[in-house]
Amino acid sequence: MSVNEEYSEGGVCLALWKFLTVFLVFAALLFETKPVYTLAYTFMVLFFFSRRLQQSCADQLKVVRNASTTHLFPDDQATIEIRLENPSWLPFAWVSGVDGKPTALDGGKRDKWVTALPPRGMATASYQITAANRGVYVLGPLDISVGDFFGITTQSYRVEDYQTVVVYPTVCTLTDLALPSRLPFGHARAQQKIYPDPSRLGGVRPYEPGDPLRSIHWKATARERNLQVKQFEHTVTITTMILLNLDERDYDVHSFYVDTELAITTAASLAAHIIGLGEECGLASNGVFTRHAVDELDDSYRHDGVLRISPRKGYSHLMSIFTALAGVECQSSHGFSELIDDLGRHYSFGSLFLLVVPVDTGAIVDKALNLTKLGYQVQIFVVGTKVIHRHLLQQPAHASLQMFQVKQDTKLNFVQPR
Amino acid sequence: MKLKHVVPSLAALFSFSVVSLVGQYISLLYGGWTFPVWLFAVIFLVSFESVYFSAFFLSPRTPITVRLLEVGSAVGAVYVIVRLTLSPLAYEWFELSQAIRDPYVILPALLTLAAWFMAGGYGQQFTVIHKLGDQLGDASASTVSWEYESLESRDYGVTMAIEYFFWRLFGYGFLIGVLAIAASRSGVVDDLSRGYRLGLGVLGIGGLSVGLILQGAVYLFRLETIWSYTGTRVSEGFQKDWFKNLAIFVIAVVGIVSIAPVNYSPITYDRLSQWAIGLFQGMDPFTVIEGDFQPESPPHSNEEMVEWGIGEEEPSFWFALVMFLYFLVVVGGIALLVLLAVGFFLVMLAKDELDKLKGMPQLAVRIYRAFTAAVCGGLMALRDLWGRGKNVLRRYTFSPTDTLSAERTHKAGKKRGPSGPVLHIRQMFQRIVRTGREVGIRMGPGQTPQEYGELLREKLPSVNTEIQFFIQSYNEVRYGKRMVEPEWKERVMEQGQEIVRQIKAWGKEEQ
Repeated sequence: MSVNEEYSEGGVCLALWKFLTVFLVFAALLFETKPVYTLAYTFMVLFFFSRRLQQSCADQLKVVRNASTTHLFPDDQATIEIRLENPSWLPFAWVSGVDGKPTALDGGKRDKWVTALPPRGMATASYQITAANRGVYVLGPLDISVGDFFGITTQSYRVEDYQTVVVYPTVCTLTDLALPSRLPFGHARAQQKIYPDPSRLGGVRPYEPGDPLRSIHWKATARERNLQVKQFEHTVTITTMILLNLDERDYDVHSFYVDTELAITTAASLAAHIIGLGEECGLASNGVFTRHAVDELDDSYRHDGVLRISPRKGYSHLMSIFTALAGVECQSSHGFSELIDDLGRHYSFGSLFLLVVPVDTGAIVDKALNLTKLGYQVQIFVVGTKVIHRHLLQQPAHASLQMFQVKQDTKLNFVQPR
Repeated sequence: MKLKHVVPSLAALFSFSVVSLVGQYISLLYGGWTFPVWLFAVIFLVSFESVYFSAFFLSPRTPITVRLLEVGSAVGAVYVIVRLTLSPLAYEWFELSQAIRDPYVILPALLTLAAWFMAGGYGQQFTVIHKLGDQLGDASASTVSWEYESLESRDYGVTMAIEYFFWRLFGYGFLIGVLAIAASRSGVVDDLSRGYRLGLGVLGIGGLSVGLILQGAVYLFRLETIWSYTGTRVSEGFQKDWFKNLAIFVIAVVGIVSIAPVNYSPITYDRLSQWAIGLFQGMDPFTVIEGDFQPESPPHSNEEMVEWGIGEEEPSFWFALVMFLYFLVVVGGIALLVLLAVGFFLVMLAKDELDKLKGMPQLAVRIYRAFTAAVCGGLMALRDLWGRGKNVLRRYTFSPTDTLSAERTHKAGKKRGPSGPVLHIRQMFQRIVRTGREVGIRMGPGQTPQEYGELLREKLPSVNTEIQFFIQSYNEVRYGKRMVEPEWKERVMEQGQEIVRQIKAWGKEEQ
């Protein structure tokens, strides 16, 4: 057992019983009678040998968690399992344990569990946790107590074994965030017909000299008895990057917690929506990871003090984004404008930037306009109650700079990615 | 499996084993009586009846008549069986004064009573354990830690969880041990048949096994009671696993104690007594032990006389008992002195670290503190006695003026009780309480006057104002040290008398 601390022993009472045992031994030695010997031996086993034996066997006890990390969405329940192995020949009457639990999980209520351990046997103890709020939490250390059959002695140990619980942010539909459900994400119809997209069939037309042979639609040709060629749509793939502002100086102190959580929920929901459409999505933020998330997340997520996840497709990538968002927190040293400046140079022409901010300050809108001048599309999502540039809320759908105000419905429809 | 229903049966079995074994030894030691076979059945039944009755039906409200009937029927049954099984006795059925002197009646009756008491005690203890939740009071479940027995508000380590049962195991074992020693020294065991010895062994080992299983089961019962209160998650099949593991443990313990060597001690009572006798005679004890005894030949010298005496006569049981008690006092006294000395040094050296001590050092410190407290108490008592003695001396030796002043001083130093109006109001309250008790409105031991007043107001709404005024006045006088004006006192007394009248009227109506 990975023991950090050991406490417990008998007290005055045990000393008294040891004294009585010695007295019995003296009586047995003096009067030489089998019943007195039997009684003396029994008490010696109970108050001397079994205690020592239990102590040494408890040292060999193996306490292992069945998982090192558990991932949950808010309101999900999970079973935490702890495996106990007794390699010794001594049965343990009871082994009880209690896991260190942060208050964010079930209000910090520590569930005690008890199990019996046969000689050279194993047992699994379990208890339930319910995820409430987004975050990366650590369960542990484990306080294990081992007792005998008669309440004579108890040994307690602290096992430095921890389990990380990642609670993803709330993910909801765009409608629940008061956003239009058909935002122009992903592939967009190209204004200049330079890049025909072979995966998007627009229709067929009669063959014209110069058309490549591989574009001939053979089935349509057979049906029409005339050469027909495939007509592809001309599209450009838009890389979408979500930029999340977690500079605490930009948030209103009166609604700090609500606004930051809404910003993270918005970022998570947008990422889920985009990847759900089969498109690429990345995430960048000037937030910092919580202490516990540092171990959980890959180092490659952090660049120069900021969180950056490159755009990719697929749900495994989405889970990485969720994991990062689960453990991210506000900070006060990195400004959001610097983040925009930094990222504006890294992505290709036509990329879409989704800026999730608490307030549309003049500086942010200026930066956004600069991005649009460089050929990027920018959409600003304001999670605070106040919108400064209200005229941007009424921009046409094809405008390169648009703004949306995010309002959280009291009753959200959670979307759980599969 | 409901543990609450199983544990009493184990206690009954243990009681049966112990009492049967004690009966066997008594029959061995007292040659005039043989343990009858039917007594096994009676002890068995009485044990079961007593433990289950105490565990499930006995309460503080159970009339004493029921208990008397219970024990009377058991003893009566024994008497009837004795009369029916034995050949006609020399006295009639109703001659109970003769019967209680007859060992054939009184010994089975006493053994039955012992089984009844023993099993009943266990049964009552199970009820205490079952009501453990009541002791927890309003303590938050999360603060309850069964490992350290904090639920009983005792200091850690001061007591064991099932101390009652351990004391009984020790006590009954000790009793059987003393009887076994007596039987062994009287020589009756040597003449026993192999079957009888086997029976004794089975009863002893069986009793020990059942006793250990009882200890384990009771501890589990206690733990389960606490766990149910604290909402601890107990794994499935825990009880079954507990008993399986307990069986393994008990088998191992019983196996070890059965095969462990006995009678190997180089310093036995016999050798010590030889040594003691040798010491009294101014002889070297070891020479005596190693000497070549020839008890048949007459002694020629003093030395030979001692050897001859020792060789011929085994020390008697009473001498053994005295030696044993002597040994006990000496060993206990030395142990106490050692602990006192250790405690003294620990108190001197450890000082602030005393709370961290555990086990034997902690015991030593506690004993030392108890000893010093006792010494201080004794010195205070002596000083008080000395002061009184001096006063008495002054009374007879000093002048009348001095005596008067001494008396004044003595009276001033004495704590004065209430007097005058205060006393009258307090007496009136006592009268109210007394009258209330007579009609059934009792004041509980934990009730304050205010709470009792509220109870009275519930019962006697017609004198609501009077009760309120009287109780408030009483509180002011009793605890507030209020100055009592004559008019106010008269009013209070009138209100009190009115309350008493109303209580009596209420009592009559109730009848």
